[in-house]
Amino acid sequence: MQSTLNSHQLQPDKWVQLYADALFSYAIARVQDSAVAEDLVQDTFLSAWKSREQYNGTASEKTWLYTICKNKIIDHFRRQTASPMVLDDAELANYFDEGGHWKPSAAPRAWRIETESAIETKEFYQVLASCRKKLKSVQQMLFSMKYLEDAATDDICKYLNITPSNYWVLIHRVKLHLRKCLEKNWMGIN
Amino acid sequence: MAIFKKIWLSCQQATMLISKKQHTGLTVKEAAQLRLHLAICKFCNRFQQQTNLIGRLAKKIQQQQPAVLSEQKKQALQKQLRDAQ
Repeated sequence: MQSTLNSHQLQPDKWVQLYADALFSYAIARVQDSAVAEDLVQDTFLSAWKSREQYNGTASEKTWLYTICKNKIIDHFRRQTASPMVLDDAELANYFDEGGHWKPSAAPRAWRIETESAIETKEFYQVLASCRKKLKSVQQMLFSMKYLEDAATDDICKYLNITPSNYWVLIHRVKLHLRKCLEKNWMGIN
Repeated sequence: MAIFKKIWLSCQQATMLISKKQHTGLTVKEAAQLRLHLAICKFCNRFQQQTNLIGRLAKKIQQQQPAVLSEQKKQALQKQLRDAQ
């Protein structure tokens, strides 16, 4: 008799059918590149297969595959950001003058927003996606980890090997860039 | 006015503190300085509201864009897995 009543079992033959689209959606939302996302799904299935003996059945098969995929995504970002990070002060000069005041071209304008749910349109998310692509790769990674993964600050700092103060300076740049890009490209079409 | 000058933040500093507040929290002094700045500066107020909004919308990205792998790619994956077994 097998005592597997309370534990989950792997069914590799069904992985593609059950999880390929879900993992692909998960990956593409984070890396924003369909070829890279396809490779990540492939790597996920293959390394899951190779490490099948380490699967102990406490988490569901689905959760286990997502965890592997998540680690593949982090590795991908890490490779992209292998060089030490330089916080470029010139970036800020696009937004603020020497006295630290908003430059007239960069000062936030009022957004005409009736309700928040009215913004959640396909058009908005397309513009957001193209704005994300304009970020530097370390900034893209931060964005994904913070907003899509909801990763803890400590974990993000560990992955990127940065201090918490570097972290929020970087995420601040992300916000400056995205806010400006959305205002220019999306508020304009409304 | 000397004291006001001493505690008044520039917009560059104020927006930094807005991000710091959202992610790691502020000291009592920083919180007071930021409140004072936001009471007066409409641009930094907009920055705060708009970046909070972007954060909330960003969390829904995946729901908004469900993606589908091509049948061809799925068959290739299936074959690879079978070959590995």
